[in-house]
Amino acid sequence: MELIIDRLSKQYQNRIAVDRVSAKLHRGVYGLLGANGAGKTTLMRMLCGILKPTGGTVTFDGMDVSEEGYRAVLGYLPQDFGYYPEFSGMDFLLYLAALKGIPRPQAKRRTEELLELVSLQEAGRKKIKTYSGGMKQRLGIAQALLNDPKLLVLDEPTAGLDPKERVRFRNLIESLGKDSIVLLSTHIVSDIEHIADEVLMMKDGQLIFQGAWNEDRGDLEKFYLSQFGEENTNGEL
Amino acid sequence: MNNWKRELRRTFAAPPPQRKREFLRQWGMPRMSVFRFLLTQTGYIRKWVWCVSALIFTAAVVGAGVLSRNMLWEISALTPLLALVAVCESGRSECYEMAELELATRFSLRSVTMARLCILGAENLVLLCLLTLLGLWHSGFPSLAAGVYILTPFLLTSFLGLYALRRIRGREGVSVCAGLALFISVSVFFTHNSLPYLYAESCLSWWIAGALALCAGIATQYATMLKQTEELAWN
Repeated sequence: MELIIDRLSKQYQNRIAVDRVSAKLHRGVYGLLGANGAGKTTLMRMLCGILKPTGGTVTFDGMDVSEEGYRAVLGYLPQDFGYYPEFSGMDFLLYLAALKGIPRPQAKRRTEELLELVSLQEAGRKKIKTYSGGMKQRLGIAQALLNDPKLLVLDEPTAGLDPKERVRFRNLIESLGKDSIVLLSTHIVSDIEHIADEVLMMKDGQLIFQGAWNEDRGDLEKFYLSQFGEENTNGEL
Repeated sequence: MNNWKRELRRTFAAPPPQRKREFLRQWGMPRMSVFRFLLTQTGYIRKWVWCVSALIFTAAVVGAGVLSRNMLWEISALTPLLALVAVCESGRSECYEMAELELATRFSLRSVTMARLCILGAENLVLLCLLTLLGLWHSGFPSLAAGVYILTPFLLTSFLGLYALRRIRGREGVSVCAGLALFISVSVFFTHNSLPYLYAESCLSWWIAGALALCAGIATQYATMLKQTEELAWN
């Protein structure tokens, strides 16, 4: 299981959002840190085949990001997502299961399992428009896990969750990392410290640090603050 | 017999599965045929889309069949609503911010949009043929002329609606489409009386040329719309 990112770049007219990022990711949890505008979301969107890179390639076990086979093993939670107003939580999961090519009986079983996993089994039949922010976020996490992905990309997965839920999801992500490549972006350094096997740090579209963070290296939070300044981390540490 | 089975199960209890998830994962998901995918997507087209089509068809049947009226202009004025519904359904993902999620699935947004277009296109084609027959019934126009007078407002609304939806993203785009459809619908209803020379036989070739140009325009708009889905997610 190997995700190869090779000199991946994205340029918008006169602005370089991601600048020749290269990395090799294997089974485990990877924490992507960076201030707002560092290029995290653009990088993740390119890894999910949503944005076309200006340069470079992304391959998972030899499959290019543009291939159906790549998307078949991918789970993605965007930072913000909408829903069709007539959908209940269960409808939402069944719809995305259909797009992921999961046969209906299997999709129903998986949907029920995941609703239970994210503690939404009782709210599953209610319309999403009645959900709180945290419930919506949990539903988003559930949809990312529908196809039991080998590559899981999570953009701010713990945003909007209360502290108890955050700890639960940190544990869930940690267990998912045992069988998959999990890449999660966040501003919350403590989330990364707790679960990430490796840290990727981005600044101005470039990867400024990649590797395991251990105590010998000092405090990750301090390093992060020294790179990005305290104004970017207000209340998030 | 049942006792034996129970006893055997108890004595030789199966060990808990090991690495079951890993084993199942290596097979991946079974392939889904195009037909099956279209069928799945048909279930996700909103009910009111079918209701609008059914209402227009019922109105045409009642007018032309039961009341024996010339329904050509009423049908022609109703077809923009049909186009509006189809255009809005095609651009639904972006309107409700589902595009980013749909783009990252195995059957990506492009397939979803294509599926919706195929389903609604086939439904509209059948309905427009039936409506043309009903419009032709008491109109006194040749069949080609009746067909073109019914089809052109539909095509014009589709073309302008798609253009607007591409340019103006989200719900504002839908509102603009609705405004355009209403304007075309009202215009059609009144122009056949106030501007009868537009419907003279000598103008028919212009109508046909216009309808063909609109067909080409719609094809271009759809192609551009599919291409645009790639960069939707960038804010």
